[in-house]
Amino acid sequence: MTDLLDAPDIVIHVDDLSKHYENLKAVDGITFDVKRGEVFGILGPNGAGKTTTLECIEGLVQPTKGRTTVLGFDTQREPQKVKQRIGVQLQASAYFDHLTLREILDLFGMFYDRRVDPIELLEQVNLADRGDTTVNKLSGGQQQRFTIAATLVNDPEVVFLDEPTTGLDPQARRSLWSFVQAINGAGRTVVLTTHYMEEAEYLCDRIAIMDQGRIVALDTPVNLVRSLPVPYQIKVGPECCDAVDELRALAAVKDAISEEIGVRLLSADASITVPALMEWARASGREFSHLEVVPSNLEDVFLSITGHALRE
Amino acid sequence: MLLFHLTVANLKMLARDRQALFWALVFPLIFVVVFGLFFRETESPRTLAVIDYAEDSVSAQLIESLRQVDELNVNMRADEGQARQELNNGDLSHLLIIPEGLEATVSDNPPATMTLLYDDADPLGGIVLGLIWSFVDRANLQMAQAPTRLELVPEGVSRRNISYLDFLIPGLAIWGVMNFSIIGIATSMAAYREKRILIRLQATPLKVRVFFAARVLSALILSVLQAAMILAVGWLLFGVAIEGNLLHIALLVVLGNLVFLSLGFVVGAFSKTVAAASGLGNAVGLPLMFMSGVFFPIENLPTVLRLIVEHLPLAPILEIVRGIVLHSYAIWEFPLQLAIICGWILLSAVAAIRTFRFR
Repeated sequence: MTDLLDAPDIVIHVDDLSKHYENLKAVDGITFDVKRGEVFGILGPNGAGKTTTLECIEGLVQPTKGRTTVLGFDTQREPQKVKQRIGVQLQASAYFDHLTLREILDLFGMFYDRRVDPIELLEQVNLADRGDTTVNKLSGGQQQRFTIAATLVNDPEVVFLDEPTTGLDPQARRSLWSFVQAINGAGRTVVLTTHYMEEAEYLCDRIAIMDQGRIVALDTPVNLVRSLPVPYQIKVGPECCDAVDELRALAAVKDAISEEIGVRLLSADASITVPALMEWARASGREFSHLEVVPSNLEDVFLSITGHALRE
Repeated sequence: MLLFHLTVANLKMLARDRQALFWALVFPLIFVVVFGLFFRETESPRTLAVIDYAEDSVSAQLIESLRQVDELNVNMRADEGQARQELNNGDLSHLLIIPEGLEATVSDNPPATMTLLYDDADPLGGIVLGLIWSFVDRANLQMAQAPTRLELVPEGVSRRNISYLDFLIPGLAIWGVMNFSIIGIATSMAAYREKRILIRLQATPLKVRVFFAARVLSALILSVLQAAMILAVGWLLFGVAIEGNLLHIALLVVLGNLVFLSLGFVVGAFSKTVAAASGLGNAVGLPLMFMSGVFFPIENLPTVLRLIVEHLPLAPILEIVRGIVLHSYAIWEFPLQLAIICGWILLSAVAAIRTFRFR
């Protein structure tokens, strides 16, 4: 463990962490590190153990086994030191109804040794003009932005966001992504959970994929997709449906699936398959009504590893 | 310092929460006003109608003495039939009939017979009867020129008459505090859990006990205000006399409220939702209110029930508050009741801490 403290680029260390409830293994022996300055995502379906993992690291839940450290402090042994240095956004957590945004930030600031001016925080999330209103008068997106501001009252080194965009419309979600990037841009390490594949892909430097309490894969989004046996899919029009067997025999093609809208080729390497496909078309005198190369995504990664879809 | 800021924040939230303010201040006042108007004393003096068939010096002397009695409104009548009719209708409470030739019978035998008719359903009927009786005795003695050998000097033990409102209003003040504290704390704990505010606080370095200390402090301040308002309205509108030391009342309210607040925390811990908290709070508060003597003295309860109720938290508090307000006792003149209250403070606080949960 001492070598961990000597590694300044590691801010969070999770070692063989388990949290078991009566008849549920919410988290089941997971180990990972989070590096300084990265956006680390935990991706998984509901009930995968993402929130419990965060709450163990934050000191809100006592783990059954294993240990977590944040910035060199053991969460279980020195929870106060950890809490002083982190910012936490909880899923579906609200604030006091009868205090204004500014009063809430003021009050929360008092809990910390180091604090940031509430006006400055509200400016950071574009809510400077709403400082004198109460939380229940804000829209869903504004409320979510306010909870982001509230996680920053102590100028934390590490920020935890638990499903920050759940329940938001696509536009509000995009706008929130830019705030997450801004937090990260200020040099803070961000750990977030999500069950949105696009969100993880867009925001995260590294992703841990969780399923049923375990981490089933952990890497950069690009490497995760590359690790798939079929990192690309090539789609051609329905006029090729009669030639599925010929297509399946093309170089680097793992499989060809005939569908109503055309044929889907699963390719191990698009740079080999595409020229071969073109050659085949010229030789057989065909023209494609549709031709599309799409990289596989995290959804496919999840499906390929767990055997079930991310959202069911 | 943090405790101070949190207390201020809590008071701010209470002051802005219209619903809470209604239940804390307006609701008990409605009770006070309704009961006040219901039980206000109608202090009309009893009317004594007199039919004087004698019309001589002795009867004149008798009537003159009756006129001296403050509680009596002496009303001379001529028509006996009509007067009897009014008495039967309840328009008159007493009718005295003086027979003819009173003066003549004073020295002779047999004695003259006066008739007093009265409504025996009237609780004060007997008092008037006694007054006239003693007057007649005195007149008899004077006429017989017998020396007075025995003298009774009456001395009021109670400094003042205690009306039902005097009894009720201090009880309502304590009830208002209890009702709001149990339900107020229970519902806000349930709401804090539902909205995950407690977990959000747990994620900060703030120690939860500081947060609750502030919540309790602000509730104590509010409860003293509440009790003061209810007593003030009783005093201003219905003339309830507040005799005792106000600081002792405040101290009692604080001690009692510590029990109620702790009970509120316990109720809140067992309630999944805000609605459940309010229901369960009432389930605890209402039986306490009805049994413990807010509306009637617990001396009227069956012995077994009374023994139980005397050891529940509300009855001892009510006994002390009435002792202070009505009889100017000091709070420490009730050591047994104080011991029971302190026992409940300990018990309920331990229960509150042990049942507490963040989610």
